[in-house]
Amino acid sequence: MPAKNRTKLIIGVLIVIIAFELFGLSLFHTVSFQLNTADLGPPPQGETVQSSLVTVAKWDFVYASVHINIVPSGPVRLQFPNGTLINVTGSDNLNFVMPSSGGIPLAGTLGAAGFYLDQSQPIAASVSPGLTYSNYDNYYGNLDLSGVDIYSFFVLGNATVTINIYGASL
Amino acid sequence: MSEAYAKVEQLMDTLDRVRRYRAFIPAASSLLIYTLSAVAALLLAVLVANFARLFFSLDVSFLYPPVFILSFALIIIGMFLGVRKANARIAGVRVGEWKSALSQNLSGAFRVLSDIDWETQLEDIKQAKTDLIQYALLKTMLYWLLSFLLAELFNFLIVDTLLSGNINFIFLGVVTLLISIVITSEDTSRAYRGSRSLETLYWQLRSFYGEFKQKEREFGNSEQSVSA
Repeated sequence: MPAKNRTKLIIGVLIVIIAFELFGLSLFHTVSFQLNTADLGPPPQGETVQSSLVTVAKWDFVYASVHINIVPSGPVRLQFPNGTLINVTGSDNLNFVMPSSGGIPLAGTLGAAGFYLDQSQPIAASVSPGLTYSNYDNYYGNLDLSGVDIYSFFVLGNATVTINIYGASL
Repeated sequence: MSEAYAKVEQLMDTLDRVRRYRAFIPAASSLLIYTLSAVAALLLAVLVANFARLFFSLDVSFLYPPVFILSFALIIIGMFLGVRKANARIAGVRVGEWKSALSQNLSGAFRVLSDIDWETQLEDIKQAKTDLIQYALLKTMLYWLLSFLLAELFNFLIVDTLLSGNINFIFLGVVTLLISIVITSEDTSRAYRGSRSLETLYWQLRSFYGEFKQKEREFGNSEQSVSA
């Protein structure tokens, strides 16, 4: 092969490799933040302690690795949607994977409980005050959650919540 | 007669310049290969780090700064080597050899013109036209890559590390591309004008070459009839 054509071939191959790498990088998404539930305001009406709903949401075609750290500022309990209660006495971590359930990326948006999902932001997390275990079902029952995977729990009491989510559209 | 000398001299200068263009472009291509390889290596490192973090919970973000600095250094070294190679190639181009012959007399000018490998020269001019445009595109691309990497460095060191934010890399890519186009716009239009003037030169020389060949044949025939 003549040297000129070989050079063009190498440049072409490198450009294709870079294009694939950029495409690969565009599939990765990160959500990262930290807040103290005490900063979210007073407890909901009728409650004696702050009740904050932690929600992690993603489109079903996304694989997500979730790392949540909770550092209590006083007595804190975690309450899950099935009613399970866990006491948190010190710094505690929740690490889990939300696997891709094989959906197809389609145009769509979902905004709820302080988070927002769309095609460019396929993973999201929020810590929302004012929602309690008793009105959880009513709240999520009214949302169209097709194509969306949600993991949520309540933090009862004041705590610093750090959320790191790494995801990829696979 | 001095006008004829000046014309031939001008022509030979232009042909020398074309030779330099032709020598520069292969070196510039090597420069592009070095740069693209460094970028590909950097992106691969970031991609592997992302996979490691996602699937094996390995946080290798501490490797980003050294990898980034290494890639940036590779690009700068690549550019330096590319420029050196280009300079060496340009310096190696033999130019001005026609000057001594041209300084003799009219027959000297005629010999200079006769010695030109016209077909090769015309082909070189045609190629140099493309080379000029390629050079302008290459320069814009290199400016883009460098400004994009600088913007990403700013994004990582200032926005991400200090302000806990992140600027979308597609946005950075578009902005740095626009900046690079603006910075190199003068070079690009100069390359375009150069390419247009080479196009004109090509057709003028082609027509001149035709006439010159005819005169050369006529001269050869008259010499033969004199000797007969």
